[in-house]
Amino acid sequence: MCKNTESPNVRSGMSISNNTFARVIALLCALLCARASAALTVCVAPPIDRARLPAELSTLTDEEIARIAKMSPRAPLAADPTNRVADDVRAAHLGHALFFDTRLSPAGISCATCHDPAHAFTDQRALARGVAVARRNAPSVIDAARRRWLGWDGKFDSLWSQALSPLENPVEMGGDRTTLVRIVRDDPSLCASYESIFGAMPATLGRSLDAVGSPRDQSRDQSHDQLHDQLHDQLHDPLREPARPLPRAGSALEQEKAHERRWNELDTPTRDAINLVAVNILKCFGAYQRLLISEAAPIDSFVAALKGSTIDASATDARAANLDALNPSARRGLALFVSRAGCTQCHRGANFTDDEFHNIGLVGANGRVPDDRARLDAIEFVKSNPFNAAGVFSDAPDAAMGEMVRALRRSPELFGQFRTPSLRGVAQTPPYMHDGRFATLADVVHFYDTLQGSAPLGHHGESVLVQLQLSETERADLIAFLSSLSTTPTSSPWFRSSMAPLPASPKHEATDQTTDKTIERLRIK
Amino acid sequence: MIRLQQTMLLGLTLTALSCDETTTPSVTPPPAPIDVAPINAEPRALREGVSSDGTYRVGWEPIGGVIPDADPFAVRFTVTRSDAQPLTDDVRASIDAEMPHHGHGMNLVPTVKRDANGSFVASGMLLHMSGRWVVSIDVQEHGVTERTQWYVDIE
Repeated sequence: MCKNTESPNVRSGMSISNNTFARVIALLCALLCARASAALTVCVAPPIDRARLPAELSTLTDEEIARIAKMSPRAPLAADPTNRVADDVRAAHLGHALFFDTRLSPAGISCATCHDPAHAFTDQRALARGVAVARRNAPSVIDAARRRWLGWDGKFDSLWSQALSPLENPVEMGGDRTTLVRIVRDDPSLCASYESIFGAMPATLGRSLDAVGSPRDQSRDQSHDQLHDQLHDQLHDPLREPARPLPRAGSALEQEKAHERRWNELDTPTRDAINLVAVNILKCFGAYQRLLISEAAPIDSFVAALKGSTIDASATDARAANLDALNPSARRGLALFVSRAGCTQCHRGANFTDDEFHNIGLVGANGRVPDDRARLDAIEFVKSNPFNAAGVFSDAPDAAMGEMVRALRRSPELFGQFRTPSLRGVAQTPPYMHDGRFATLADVVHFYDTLQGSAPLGHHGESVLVQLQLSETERADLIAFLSSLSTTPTSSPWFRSSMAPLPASPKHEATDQTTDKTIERLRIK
Repeated sequence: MIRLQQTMLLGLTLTALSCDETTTPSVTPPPAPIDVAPINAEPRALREGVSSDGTYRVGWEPIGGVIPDADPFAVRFTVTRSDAQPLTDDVRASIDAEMPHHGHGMNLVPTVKRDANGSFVASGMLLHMSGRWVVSIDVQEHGVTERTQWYVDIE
C-alpha cells in the first residue's frame, strides 16, 4: 500500500498497532506495488503498429505509444442538455450578434474585446483588460464548448452560465442582465430574433410601457407623451435602470449598492422575468460558442498516419493522414511529451487536458507561495450558483452535469488549483498561465523544465512536477511539438465579427412553453 | 489479534511471491486485502477482494467494463459475507479513490445506492489523472468499518 488511508473508525489490516508487523506488511505491500508496475507494461496492447513508427518514436514503450494513439481524433462535440437551444442555429446567430455588441457594457466593451477573433479569441494581454484590469488572463473561447468547466478556476459548468460573469463583472464589462434584456427587447432586429426562438417576451417586461399607452399611439400629443413616457420609464420601467442582484466589491462599490437596491426593489415576477429572458439570451451565447471549434491540426494527420487510418471525412478531425505533418523535431518533442516530460499526466487524450484542476505551485504576487484560492472558492460558487447545471434555469438539472455539480468535493488541496488548459491551438494563444506570466511557449517549457518560479506546496498540495533537466534541443523539440497542435485559422464565418443575416423565420405563436414552466418552477421554489 | 496478523501475513506473502501478476490472489482464508487491477485500457469484468478483517468479499466493476479517460463513470459493486450469512439491513457501503503519490483524491463525492438485487451502484466516480489510484470500498455494519482496496493504474 502506498499510503495509509485508515481512519480511527476503520478497522483495517493496515491499522494494527504492531510496528514490526506493520513494517513487514509495508514491505510486502511494496513488493505487491512492484509487481503491479511490472504488470503494466504487459497489459497494454498498443493501437499503433510499431512498424509504422518513425525513428524518433521507436524507443517508446507500449504505454507511451498508447498515449499518442489517444491524441486523435477527438470525439464529436457532446450535447449540452442544460441548454435547449444549444444547437439551434437561430440562437447561435443571436449569440453571435451579441458577442460583438458593445452596447452590453456602459464602457463600450463587448465579449470580443477580450476574445478577439483576430487573436484566436484572446486579447494577447497577460491580464484581461475591460473596464479595468482583471486579475486573470483571458483564455481563448475556441473549443471552450469541449470544456467540462469554464474559467481558469472552473467556476462555471456551462457556456451559458459563464456568459453572465464577464457581463456583470464591474472589472470586465460592467454591464448587467437587466440592460442585456432591455437591449434585446428594444432592438427590433434582436427582439425579432429572440422571439423567433423563444416566443414573446414575458408580458411583465412590457407592462410598464403598456400602462401609459403605447408610445407608438400617434393620436396623442407627441411632446406630452414623450415627457410622460420618459418620466414613467425612469420611475417604473424595470428595464430602464440597470439592476442586478449580486453585490460586488471594488472601486464602484456605491454604484454596485445602487444596482443591488434597484434590483431588490423590483417585484418578484419582474425579477423572474428578467432572469428568464436573460438566461435565454445567455443560452444563445452558449449556442454561438459551440460553433467555435478548432479544425484538425498537424498532430491529427500524424496520428492518423500512425494508425494507418482511413480518413473519415465526417470525423471531427478529418485531415489527410500524413507522417510528415510532424517534422523530426516535433516528433522528438512528441516522444518527450508522452514519456520523460510527463506532460500527459494532465494534458491527456485528444483534447490535451484532463478537464480537471491542479496546483503547479506558481508563486503569487507575494513572490513566495500561491495566493489565488482558485478552485477552492470556485467549488462554493458553482454549487450555489442559481444558474448552474443543476439549478432551476437549467434545461436538464438531473442530467450528468447537474449530478457532477452536486457531487463536487470541497477539500483543502483545491487551494490554488487551476483548470488544466487544452493545448490545442496553444501556439496561437500567448501569453500563458492563469495570469499570463509567461510570454512565450519557450518560457512555459523553461518553467516545467526548471520549476523556477514555483513554490513547494504544503502538505495538502499535489506533488506532480519534478525538474526535467532538458537540453536546449529537447526544449526546442517540445516547442515544435506544441506548435503542431495548432492549425491555420478556420474559414468558418462564425469566427468573424460580421455574418450574413439570418433568414427571417416565423415568430412563435405563444410564449415559449419552457419559459412558462421555468417561471412556474421559480415561483414554487 | 495475533492470529489474525499471522493469517494476513501469510496471505500477503503468498500473494506477493506469486508469479502470475494478473491472477486474483487465491489464498483462503483470508485472501490478501489488496488486488492489483489492470489499467483502464484493459477491460476486466470484475475486480474482487476481501475486506481488511476478512468479513466480506467485495467485487466491483465499472459499468460498461472500462474506466473512461477523465470522464465520470459509475461502478457496480457487490458485498457478500465470507461466512455466507446474509448482510443485515444495517449494512452501509461507500467507495472512494485517491492518488497516493500525488496526495489527492477524486474531485467528486460518489453517490452510492443499493439496488433491488442487493448490489451497490456508485455514480460520480472520476479518475481524472493518469497514474496510480487506490480505490477503496468501505463496508460498515454494526458500527464497524472494513476496507477493501485495489490499485488501478490509469493511462
